[in-house]
Amino acid sequence: MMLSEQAQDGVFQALGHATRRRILDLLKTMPGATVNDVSKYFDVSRIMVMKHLGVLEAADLIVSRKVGRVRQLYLNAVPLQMIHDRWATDYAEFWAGRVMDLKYQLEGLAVRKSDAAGSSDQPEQQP
Amino acid sequence: MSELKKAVFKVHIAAPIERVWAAITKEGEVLPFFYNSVMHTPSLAPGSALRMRSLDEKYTAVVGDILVVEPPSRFSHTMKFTQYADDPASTVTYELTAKDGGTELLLLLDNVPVGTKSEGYMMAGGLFITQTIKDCVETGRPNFKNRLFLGMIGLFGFMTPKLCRTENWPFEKKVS
Repeated sequence: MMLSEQAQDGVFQALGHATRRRILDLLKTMPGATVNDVSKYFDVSRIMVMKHLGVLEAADLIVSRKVGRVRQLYLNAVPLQMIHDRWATDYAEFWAGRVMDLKYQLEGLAVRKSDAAGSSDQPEQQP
Repeated sequence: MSELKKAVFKVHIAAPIERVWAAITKEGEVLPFFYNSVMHTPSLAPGSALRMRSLDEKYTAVVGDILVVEPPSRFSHTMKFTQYADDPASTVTYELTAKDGGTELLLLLDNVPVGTKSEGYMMAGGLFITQTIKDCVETGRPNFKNRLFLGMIGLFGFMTPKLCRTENWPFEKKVS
């Protein structure tokens, strides 16, 4: 099943900002990073970073887990995969169908050729 | 390899929490979300061995021990791929929460050994498992791409290494 239209809107909105995409890149390489860890990579205020994190979390692109007094952040790639599949899988299905058609046509051609070769190899029946 | 990695996968499933729990803990039936394996365990309880085997039980792909069984919200077990038995065991945890009329599923991977083949399979598996659980519970089957993938796995079953034969992985064998 796909994401709802509303969820897709949230994902695209979250991805529509370079800082937020950069945060996702960081969390991919630093799973479990804290807000402080992430903030170090940007010149903007910590509050601004937290706002970006809020947008990403609302879109389910990141998951935060509280461990003791620290909040750890993780990239959640599932919505990205689902959006990819939203289009790519449909196309895969389309092309898989076309490829199968081509396969059957070629196999049919091969069988007909083989039949034709087989019949020409047969010695002609003498009356 | 000295580093251990943690990863989280989250998905919302439009189904009651009990149905998602039943799908995750189903024994003796093919689990499409777990690469068409069948879960075997002497008892679905902490401390029991867990094995993910092929339908004909000839091969065991994944081995581990059950850590937590708290229906319908938490199921956790250690796991390692029999093909990469030298890699340390990772931990897989399913956390379920009733939310927005359905179920929020968190799949947590802990102690994933960085730089190993197990790492690659675990990370790809996290995406595949969460997405396929959602598809199976909501629609009864995986999406087209994943059905194609599962079909390919079936075709190449004959290439499974001897190391993965079930006789090498009895319940009594400690793996964690």
